[in-house]
Amino acid sequence: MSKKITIEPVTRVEGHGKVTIHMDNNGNVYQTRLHIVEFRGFERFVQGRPYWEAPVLVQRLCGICPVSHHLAAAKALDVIVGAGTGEGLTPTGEKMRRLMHYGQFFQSHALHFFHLSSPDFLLVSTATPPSET
Amino acid sequence: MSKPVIATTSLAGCFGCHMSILDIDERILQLFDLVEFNKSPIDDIKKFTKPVDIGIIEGGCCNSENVEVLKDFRKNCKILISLGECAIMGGLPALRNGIPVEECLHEAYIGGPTVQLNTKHILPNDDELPMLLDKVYPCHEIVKIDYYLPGCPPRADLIWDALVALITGDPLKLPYELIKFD
Ligand code: SF4
Repeated sequence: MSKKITIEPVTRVEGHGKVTIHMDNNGNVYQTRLHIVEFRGFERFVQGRPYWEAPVLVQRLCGICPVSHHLAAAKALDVIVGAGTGEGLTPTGEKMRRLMHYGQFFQSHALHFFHLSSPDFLLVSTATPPSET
Repeated sequence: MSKPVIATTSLAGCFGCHMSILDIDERILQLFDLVEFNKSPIDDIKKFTKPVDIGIIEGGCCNSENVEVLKDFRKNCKILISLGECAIMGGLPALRNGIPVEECLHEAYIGGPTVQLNTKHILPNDDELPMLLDKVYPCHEIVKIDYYLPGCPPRADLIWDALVALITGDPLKLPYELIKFD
């Protein structure tokens, strides 16, 4: 009998994912698939909005790394307002963005370690058994 | 008395509301003393294993799976809370409600300026994928919701105070700073 194992939802990531593992009659895995189950349509619905809204709108793509999306939109706006691809930024502006980026990096890693991974390592007994995770 | 049981889920949200739950910082240890977590991305329990007292919903409903999960929460939870703007009124994803959903899919997978490899113009059509709804629906249009905590995301203090009030039965204090959004 071929068999399918479904892992849903996939946690420890932002986004809504599902993994299916497909096995043949002998129980050998022949395919493992990652499904991205969520579609929200940002690509289309940000169009036509006032341009200065973009950095704040795209923050809502991901609550775990909103700053990265904010900065990406800011870079796109640089091009739109004629500040080029970085060379038009003031040194203070450049430093501000770097600082925000590093801050996000730091926060994201701390969050992942303290809230997402370490409880799994330290409190294994209360978490789902590894065979299911 | 046994501890109240809590479950949480993220539907068409961005996980920002869940991050705000974690932003109660060290009070999370107190929270673990006060309550027990059941189905939630926080402890990775994927299915309800017992009746739940308080269910916390982040995100509205943009696909059939969101609707199923929400109904499952309503069935298993005594109290349901819509946490954040997405759950309360669809939030940012509801900006697509004025646009035909085909246009959104086309922009993301076929016509958008950064789409390069989809030469056969395939839209996601796998059987494993849930069905996209015509619009993004707020949770209370699908099931009965008992409480609403506003914000995008709601502040950690609001979440904390609301949970403590619900658990202890004390009235919720809502100082102005906690509910102004400017
Ligand atoms: S309300 Fe805001 S923070 Fe919460 S899921 Fe929606 S976009 Fe994210």
